[in-house]
Formats: sequence, structure tokens, C-alpha cells
Amino acid sequence: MADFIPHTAAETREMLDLLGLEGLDDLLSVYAQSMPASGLPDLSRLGEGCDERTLLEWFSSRAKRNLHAGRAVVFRGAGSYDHFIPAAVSSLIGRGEFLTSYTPYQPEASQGLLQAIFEFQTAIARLYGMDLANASLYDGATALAEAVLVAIRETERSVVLLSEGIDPGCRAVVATYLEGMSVRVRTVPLESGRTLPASIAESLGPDVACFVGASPTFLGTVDRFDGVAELLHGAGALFIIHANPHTLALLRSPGEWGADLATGEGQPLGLPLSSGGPYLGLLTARKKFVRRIPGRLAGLTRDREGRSCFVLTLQAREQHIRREKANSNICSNETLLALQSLVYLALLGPSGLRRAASGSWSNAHDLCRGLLTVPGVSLVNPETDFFHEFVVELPVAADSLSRHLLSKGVLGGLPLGEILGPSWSRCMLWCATEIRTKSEIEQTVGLVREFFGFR
Amino acid sequence: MQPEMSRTGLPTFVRPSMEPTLWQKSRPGARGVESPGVAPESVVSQIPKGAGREIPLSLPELSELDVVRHFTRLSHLNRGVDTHFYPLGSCTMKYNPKVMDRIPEIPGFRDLHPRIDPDGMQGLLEALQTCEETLCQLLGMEAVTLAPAAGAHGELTGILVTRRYFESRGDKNRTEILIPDSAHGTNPASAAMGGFTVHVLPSGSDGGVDLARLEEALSPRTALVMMTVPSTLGIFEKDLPKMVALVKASGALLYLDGANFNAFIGVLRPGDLGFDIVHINTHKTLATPHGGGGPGSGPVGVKSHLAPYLPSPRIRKDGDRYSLVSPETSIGPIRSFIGSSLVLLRALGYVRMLGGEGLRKVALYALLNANYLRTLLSGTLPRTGEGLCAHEFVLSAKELSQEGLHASDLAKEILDAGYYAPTISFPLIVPEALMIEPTETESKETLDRFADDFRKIIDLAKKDPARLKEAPRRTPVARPDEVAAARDPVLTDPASLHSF
Repeated sequence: MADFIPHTAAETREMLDLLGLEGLDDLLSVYAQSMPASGLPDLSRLGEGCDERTLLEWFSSRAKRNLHAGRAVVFRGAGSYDHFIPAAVSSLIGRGEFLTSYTPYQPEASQGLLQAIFEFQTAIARLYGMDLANASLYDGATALAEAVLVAIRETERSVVLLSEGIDPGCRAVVATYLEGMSVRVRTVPLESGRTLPASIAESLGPDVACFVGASPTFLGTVDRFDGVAELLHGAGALFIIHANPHTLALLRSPGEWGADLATGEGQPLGLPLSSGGPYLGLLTARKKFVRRIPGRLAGLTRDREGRSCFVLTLQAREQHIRREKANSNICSNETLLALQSLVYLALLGPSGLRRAASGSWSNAHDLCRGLLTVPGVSLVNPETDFFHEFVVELPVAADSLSRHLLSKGVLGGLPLGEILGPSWSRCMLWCATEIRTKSEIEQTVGLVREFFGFR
Repeated sequence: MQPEMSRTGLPTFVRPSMEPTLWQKSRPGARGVESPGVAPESVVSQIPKGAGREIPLSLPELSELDVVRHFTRLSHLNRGVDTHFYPLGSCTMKYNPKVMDRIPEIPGFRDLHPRIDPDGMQGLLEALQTCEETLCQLLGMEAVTLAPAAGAHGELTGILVTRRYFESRGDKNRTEILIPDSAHGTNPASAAMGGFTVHVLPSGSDGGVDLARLEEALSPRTALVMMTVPSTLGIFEKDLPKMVALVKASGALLYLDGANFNAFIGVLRPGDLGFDIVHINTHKTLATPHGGGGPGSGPVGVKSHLAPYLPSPRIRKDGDRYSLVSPETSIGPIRSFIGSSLVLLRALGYVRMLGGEGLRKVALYALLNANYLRTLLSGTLPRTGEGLCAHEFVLSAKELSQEGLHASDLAKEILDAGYYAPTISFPLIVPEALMIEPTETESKETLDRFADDFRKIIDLAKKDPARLKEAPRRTPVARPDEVAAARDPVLTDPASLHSF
């Protein structure tokens, strides 16, 4: 049995002697009044412990029952994307000085991490075209929920408009976060995969705190927000964009659309699919909201000797100072993953990120053209451009094709019926990233043709 | 540069040079790692007019080696448990076994898509359900959700579950949450996010919850009482059974902030103590390193009457097959997908490796180390609480204020002695608090050395307080100007704007 307790028997004895105790169990007198009559709990079901080898074998045998990206080629996105991750990423973030450190409350002993957070804030703010970013939130969905809370506090209004283009899972998380508040959520519908300013205008009123748009939308379409910022600001509401950071290498950034706040899921920036987590919440804002936003912020300053250095700053926004009046309850966040995405961005640089995003666009369009050669398969929202995801409608239920493809080693498009309702049951949301090859695309199109009885 | 001589005649440390930022090091045209993809020109022309990015993509341009050296140098400017003793109270900065780092690297977990059909994730669902069952065993609870991404997220989850529970009973009057003044700041912040009013319970003279005050505060408006045991003072509530009885009688629910789970893992089970809801921080007790502030995870355990309201999706087992379901009674999802799977697998790994007895030993040695260190430090500064402490203890540096010193000055001198600092200025109810938690993984030798150094620092504080005001001298930077940082915040690198 391993326990990672370094004491020798003699040391334990010496320590107990100093405390005037007979044995370790005497320490349990601390809990005497609460100890149940039955005594210590029965932990036999937790086993007797094991060595490293046995432990890893247990996990490996479970892992074998999972069809991970190495066993089923990923043509699915919908919030989790299979991108290239350079080898140097994991070796750098695995360094114990980062991995085993705490939130940098003591800046003199935490300059490495503070500088990395500052650089992460810089990279994300520039990518989103915004003034600033925080040190991370839990994931994209909770980042969006927190941004909506900022808008509610800032405007003191009680209606939130969410584009239908936002991932329904993220919209559900926003609804959960708003559960305890008297806030109503209204959905602004998409027309052909796009938000029409007229649809926003229709829902706009003096009680609207914000409108949130998605770029690209859950359906993969490239939404546009011409005139939306002016429309919202004219009505005293804030404009938030939830954007996939990978696509911002090529697409107009939230800052350019005039957004007040912008959020995103950082997973596409160097994080593996990770069975769904932990992921990385990105939150960016205009400078004027700096005292409203949640989460850690690293700032540049000088030390007493005049040296440039970094500190956690504006902590008066946070729970450990403001308690129930804090901007958010967030404490632990995803700092190590923020560092991971920063290393990824630094390794790829601007040309590498543009190259990767262009590869995703190009592969997804090749895949789409291939699938549309299959008789009976049609593109949903053909009048609107898409980035690296798109929806096709099939002549049969999408579930059956999905199961067939998985049995052939392909994780195909996501069947949408369960997520968007029965009217979508023949629809499938496909994705191709930069790492898919021509032959993987051709083989997958071939499998779809075969499924429908064509050669 | 000649080493500066300190007043004690010893050479002081020459501070290492700082690392320029990525943007300061950027060299236009430098290429890093070659990513798969295509030349952007062919794609940019296809992007509809007005939808393409027009502002520069101001990311740094560096070679792979530039990047590797940059982050390696940054790591040298940082202290972790792997490099230093980290007696940071309430944070449980213990050694986390390196074998656990291997589990999230297994491709079957690391590279698994969370939206794969359930048939493709049976191994993951089995492991996660095993994790739920394991935590139920450890917590004495009847259901566990693995969804929360951190402790505070677990608190919000528990609070929203509470809201749903009373709504389902048609009880609309319970709008208040009682929280002791010694609680972590996340407790009241979570209560406010959940739409409740916070009622603060003042501590009694021993630093524990005052029974009479609790009784007085409980009312038909009370939805939840949030407690931290052992408290942030390292004190286990002597009157806990009476408090539990009072809360139950009032019809309110009882919540345990399990941030200090390391003190009683395998010894006490929150469910047995009468708590309805508990969250734990796997990054404190169950083998996830803190990563400079996350990722962690904050699983929540509840009794059966609250199980229907736990966040969706839930893992269901029918025969040998696992699936994900979203019960209608659920509060809904509180994050994307199932949970922080790769963190949770580490927690499960730790429990499997140590086994029941090993986990109990964790608690016993956490208590032993805290009490041993506390005894070694007796006579240095006054401490809170009589008798034995739990896993941590709090000293007050208030008496040094006559020398013009604060707890923070001691902390800086402790950094110079070659340690990370204790938690300072928390809990708020102790003036000039220094909160010390050694954890079970530190050796007697380390504790002896720390106690010696701490004693010397207190002597120095009394003899030469001015010297402490100059600390730290051996760290990469001296004390930062925090006021200037907050007055006109610079939160992004100015070099990222003008070099593009």
C-alpha cells in the first residue's frame, strides 16, 4: 500500500512523544464529540490499495473500451475540436514549478506564472480584438454565463437575448446560472444560419441587458453582426459575442464587430479532447468593464527596486475580499490550461494559427463537397458560408449513419435530433479540422456512399 | 555585479534577470512549429466580404527553441510543491503522486470526444461511475455529481439544488443562507449568485460557530446553513451534533464546505454527521496539483432526497451498459459536457492506490504534522484555539504591529528563508493571521527546519523589524507596487500593440 507519507516509525514516535500522545489514534480526540457510536467508518469497499503498475492497468483496461481519436477518425466538433497539438506543449506545462504551484498570491515567488498569465491575457485579448482578458474561467459555457451576469449587473436590467446560434448546451448553462435571479431569457432565431438585425430589434426593449451572438454558430455558419453594436448601444444594452478562438485567425473578431464583451471555449487552442474536460473559459472585455468582470487578473507594475514585474490586481472585485458582493464566486480557475493555450499560440505564431485555421476551412469544404455528391444528401443553410462545421440533411435518421460510421472507425457528424428536437433527426453536424487528411475525407465520403447503397 | 552585504554580514542574493515577454522577444518572420494546414491565401479569398479579420493577428513570432527557453526560464521564477515547502493554510499543498499525471495521458481518455455515441465511451462512463460510487463511500452520501469544475462551482451547484428542493416542496419563504464569518469568501459569493440573501454568523470566543447565535438566526426563512469543518481556524466544532440537530429542527438543509476534507478523510463521513450536501476539492485532497490556480474539480455529494435535482447529465447504468441522461427534475447543466473527466480520473486513481486504510492514514498524518509543527512553534506568536488542532492552525502577528510589522512582512521573510509563505490575512476574524497547513506529505525534517527558521524570523522581527520591511531579498523581484498596479491597470503587454 502506497501512502506518500515520508515518516519513519521512529520519527512518528518522536513526534507523538512531543505531543504527549500514545498513538496516532489519540489525535482523533479532536473529533470525539462527532464520532458516531459505530466508530470509524468501514472503508473495506475502497480496497487495500495497489502499486503503480496495477493502477495504470486498471485505467488502461477501461480506456480500451473508449473509441478515442486514435481509433475513430474525428469528423465531429460541436464544442470539442480535434486539432494539432505540438509536442513541446505538454513538456512545458508539465514542469513542476508550474504544475505544483498555487494561485500566485505571493508575487515575489510566483513571477513565472504571473508573467505567463499576463501573456495569456495579452494573446487572448489580441485574438478577440478586445482591450483585455482575464486569467480564465472554467469553460466556454460558464464564461458566457459570467459575461451575461456582467451585463445584468452593468445595466441593472432583467432580459437577456441569446442567439439561437449559440450551442444549446451553452444556452442551458446560462439558464442554470440565472436560475436564482429574476431574469428572463429570450431566444433570437437564426434565419438561414444568420442573425438578422431586425430579429434583434423585435426583441429589444428598455429591459434588455444584452444580446449574445455566436461566431461561428452552432450549425457552423459564419454569422454577421453589421449594425448590431449600434442597435444595442442605442437601446442601452450590451453586445456579447461567443466566438471559437480557432476561427478568429481568419474571421472578423468580436472587437471589430463592436462587442462589449466576448467569450469562448479555449479547448481548440492546444487542449486535447479530454473526454470533455477540463476545458478553458475565455472572457474578454472593453477596458471600461475592467472592474466588473470576474476572475483573476495579472497586471504589470514595478517592484520597489524599479524592476518591471507582475501581480494579481484589482482583487477588490473578488470573493476573498468582497464576499457576497463579489463579481463572481470563482476562485480556482483553469490557469494551467491557460498556460497550455499560451504555449500553443506561441509555438504556432500568427502564421501557424492562420495556416491551421485555413486547413480547417479547406478540409471542411472538401468534406462538404464530397458528402453532397451522395444522392439524397443536401446542405442545410446553403446560402450562408460556413467555417469548419456544416449541417447536412439525410434521407434517413442520422443516428443510424452515425452508428454505422462508428463501427467502421469513423466518428462522423453529430446527429442533431436529440439536441435540437425531432425535426432535426435527419440532420448531422459535420466538422473537419486541419489535421484531417485527403484520404480520411475520401474514405469517409466513400463509407457514406456505401451506407446509402452507392459506389 | 558584487553581492550586496547585508547588515548581518552575509552576502545577499543577486536577483536573477527577468525574462522579456513573448512580444518583446518576437522577431518578425520567425517560424515556430509547422502546423498542418494550408496557405491562408487560398482561403482568405473565399471568406465573404466584411466577415474576414482586418486587424493584425498580433501573436509573437518565435522559434520552437525560443518558446521552450522562454517558458523554462519562467518556470525558474516560480515556486511549487516540487521545489519548496508550501505551508499555505486552507490550500492543502501536499505532494501529489506523479503516477496520477500518467492517467490523463492515456489516449483512451485524453483523446476521447465528449459527444461520441455512448457505445464509444463505455470505459469512461464506467470509470466515472466508479468515481461517483467511491466518493459516495468516502462521504457517506447517496449520490454524487462530478460536474462542478471547482470548489466554488460545487457550492453554487449545492445552492441551486437547495433552491430546487424547496421549490419542489412549494416552500417559497426560504430565501436566506447562514454562513459563519470564518468561512471562505466563496461561500457568501456562491449564495449571492444563487439568488439567496446571506446572513453572517459571528464566531464565538473559541473561533467556532456560536450555538446561541445559530439558534437565534435560524428561522422559517433559512434555506441552508453552510459550515466548514474543521473551520478555517483548524478547529473542529465541538458542538457540531447540537448544531446539526438545531438546523434539522428548523427545516433548513445543512451544507458542508469540504475544503478541509484532508483533515478527516477516512475518519468521518459528512453524511454520517448529518450533512445533506457536501462538496470536496479534488485538487486539495485527491491528487490534482493546483496548476497555479486550476484546473481542479468540486464533486458534490447529497442525500437521496436531493439526488433528483443534481445537474445533468447523469450517468445511468442498465445491466452492463452505461448511458447519459438528463432527468427533468435536474437543475440543468452547470458546465459543458460531463465534468472535468481528466481531473476526476486522477482522484479515482488516488483512492484506488491508497485504499481505505491509506486514506485514513492521510488524515492521521495531516493531524500529526499540524499538531507537531504547532507545538514546535509555541512561544513564537499567539495561536487560536486550545488543545489539539486539526489539519492547520492560525497564528496572530498582531503583537508585532507595535514594531510596525504585519503578517505580510513575516511572509516575505519566510519566502527568503526558502519556503512558500503561509496564508496571510485569512481568516478575516483573526487580526494579522498566519494560517499554516503542513499536510501529511512533509517530513519531520522539513517541519523541524521550518520551525527553526520561523523562530529565527520572529526573533529578527523583534530585534530588527526594519530588516523584515526589506524582505524578500532572495526572490527574483522585490515587493511589487500593488497600489500602482490597481490604479491604472496594465493587463496586456504594450509591446503587443506597437510591434504590429
